[in-house]
Amino acid sequence: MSALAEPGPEGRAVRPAPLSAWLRGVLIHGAFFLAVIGTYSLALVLDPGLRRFLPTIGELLQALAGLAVDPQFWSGVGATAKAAGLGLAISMVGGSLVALLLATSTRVYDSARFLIDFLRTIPPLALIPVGLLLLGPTTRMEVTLIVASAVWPVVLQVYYGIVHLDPKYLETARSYRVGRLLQIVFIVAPGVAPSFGTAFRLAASMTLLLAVGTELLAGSDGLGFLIGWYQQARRLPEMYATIIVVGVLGIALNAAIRSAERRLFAWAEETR
Amino acid sequence: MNAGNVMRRLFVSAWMALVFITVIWIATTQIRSPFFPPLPIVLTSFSNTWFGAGFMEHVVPSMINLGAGLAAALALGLGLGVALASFPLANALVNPYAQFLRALPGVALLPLMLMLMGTNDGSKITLIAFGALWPILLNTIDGIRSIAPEQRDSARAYRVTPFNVVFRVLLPGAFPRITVGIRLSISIALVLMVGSEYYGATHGIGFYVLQAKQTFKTADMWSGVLLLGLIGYVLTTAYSAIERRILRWRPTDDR
Amino acid sequence: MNNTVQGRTGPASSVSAAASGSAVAVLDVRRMGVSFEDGGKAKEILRDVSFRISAKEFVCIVGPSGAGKTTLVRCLAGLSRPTSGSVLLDGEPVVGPPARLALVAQDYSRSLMPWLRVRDNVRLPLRGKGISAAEQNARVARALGAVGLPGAEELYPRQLSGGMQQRVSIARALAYDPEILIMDEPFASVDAQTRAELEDLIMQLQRASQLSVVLITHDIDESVYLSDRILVLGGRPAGILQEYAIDLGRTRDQLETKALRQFAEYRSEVFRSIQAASAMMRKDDRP
Repeated sequence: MSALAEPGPEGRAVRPAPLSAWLRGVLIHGAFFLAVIGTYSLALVLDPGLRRFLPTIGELLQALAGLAVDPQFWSGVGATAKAAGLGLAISMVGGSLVALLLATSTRVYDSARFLIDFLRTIPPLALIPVGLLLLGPTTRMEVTLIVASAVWPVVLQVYYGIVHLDPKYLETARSYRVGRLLQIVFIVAPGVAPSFGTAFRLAASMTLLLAVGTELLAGSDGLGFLIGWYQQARRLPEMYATIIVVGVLGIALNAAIRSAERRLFAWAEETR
Repeated sequence: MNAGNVMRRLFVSAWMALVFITVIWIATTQIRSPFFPPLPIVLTSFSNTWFGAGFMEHVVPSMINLGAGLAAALALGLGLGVALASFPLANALVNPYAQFLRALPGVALLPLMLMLMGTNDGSKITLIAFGALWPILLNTIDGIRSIAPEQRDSARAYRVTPFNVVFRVLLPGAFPRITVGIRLSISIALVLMVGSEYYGATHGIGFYVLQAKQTFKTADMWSGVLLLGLIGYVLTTAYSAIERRILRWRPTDDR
Repeated sequence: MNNTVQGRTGPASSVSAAASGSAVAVLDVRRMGVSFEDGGKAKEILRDVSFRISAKEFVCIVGPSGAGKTTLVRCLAGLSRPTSGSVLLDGEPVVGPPARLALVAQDYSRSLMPWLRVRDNVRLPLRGKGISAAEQNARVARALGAVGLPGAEELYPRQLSGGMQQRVSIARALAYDPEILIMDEPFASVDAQTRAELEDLIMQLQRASQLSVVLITHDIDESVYLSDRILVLGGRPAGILQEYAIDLGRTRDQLETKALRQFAEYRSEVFRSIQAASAMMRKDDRP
């Protein structure tokens, strides 16, 4: 394959789809989207009882527009982003360090495996009462709970990345008498980078879910708190709008990281 | 392998956990913090509650909800997955919505479920099934689409009947992917089980833990957390064993 | 080990009857054409392909790579529909995979199901078709015996070598009890020794039964060694360019047959014809 051809999902050269095919795709998806919305609206018209807990499309759009200018909503976004971002950063750094430690020898890994397997299978939200008891409904509690769960996928991914590094590359480097520093910069770091990327993606989506869940259940500030609050205040369109925002955030985050992974690690065989 | 070898391997894999437990034991008995009751007291509470009345009152309902939710998610996910994978257009249309629903944090739907269906077990099971469905569904579709066209062709050339195509070609062939979804779904289901018991519930392990926290019975709280951890560990380990058995046909366990 | 068939099959005189085409045609391909739509412009792969396969006949179709052999196989097996013309099996037009036709593909690792044990792989085509379980198992055992893998039922494909896996896919075809067997480069992914063994195996199985075999290959020696008749596929779009009746007797041997002067003559004739086809295709490819 030509080195210039951009590799597609299966490593094949991607042929750009003709414009007409693209247009047809947009039309079909658009028509289906309208049909979904139409069916939904029709159901609400036919059975007005549903409106007790389902908003109309108009109300939903209005609520979304209202949220866009609502400082309370934006401070919620900020709080969630802060907790999730902090949790993600700590998980990445801490998890990588633990992984490095585990990778020093198989003996270390064998010894720690049972403990790690146990700790990582504790359902994340199980620790909420503990967190509340020790730290109260604070961002600190939220970050702690996030890290307690999100750190494990990082540990495992990065560890596997290090361990599965093909020793042949290092042997080749050594046979050409490449220096230790150069080996780390040009072989170890790029070799581990794709698993680091995977770890980042897994941890990021987990962090967002945990942040929102903790906020809803433990009452720390953020989007999750707003969802519960809107429900109790019977502001249903706002509740739905916030849930949609969280979903869109999750998809956007995942897509952004995936596309970055594809760009950065295009040479890696698979980006899972 | 001789007995000494087995003992040594057991020791290597367990010593760190043992040290961990010992440290906690000593620390909790020394510091006398109301938040961290001594380990023996937590263990006493554990055996009193979970080997006593608490088992029927909290563990059984929790496990029934978890099992029912997971079973529903599995049946729906595999069934819909096979159906959608067979109709590329339907899949192309529905896929973005499935991706979106997967990205929703299941816990955020708790208030909604409460509103729609009340605080009964039905609403909890529905929520668990809803959260656990998407990873299984999306991975089933991907898995079926990743089966080699030669394999589908040979099934078609030999006029293999639809039932046998689904159960002997598509699902087993897709299983290496499906199992990734199932593993995710198990942890999601556990989270939703616990979450649904925090939010408007009268029984269940999560409810017990939260109540113990509110009444400041910290030993009971820790014993509940310990139980949840054990359940998580047992479920994941048991599923790994099942998975290894199903994937026996693969040349190497490349995980 | 060499599965020679000497002395086991019928008299050589039966060849002429089969090869002459005077017997009833099992497979009848009439002016078949296939074209695809590729990025808005039609691409013609096959044009006016016509040939007949008689009962108990062994026919090889040879051609340079890229000649459209796989497309032809897919149409014969009912996996694709030709754009024009027709394929008739026992006089009936083929519109989907026919019941009395079995297909052995080149890539055994992809056409067997790696997640099924050998028994279940061979049995899969028999299930759900009103055949009793006992009969299914008996047919599996018989077929595995015939390909020289008795007792391999409980193994997974990965536990077998490539040649053995291809034997399993031949057993799957036999257990299906077809009257015509289509083989798409069946021996292309195995080593030379295994290849010779499998060639003799399939020849022996065909001679001992009522099977018609259509074997697609790019190996000229193989085609001359195995067939009663050779069809050369080539051109752009591809068609049947030449047809050779191979009169080397029904009983053949890897060493003796291949040492015959006649063998060498057939071989060079077919070779020249394929070379001409390739040259023609290369010329056509240039704008």
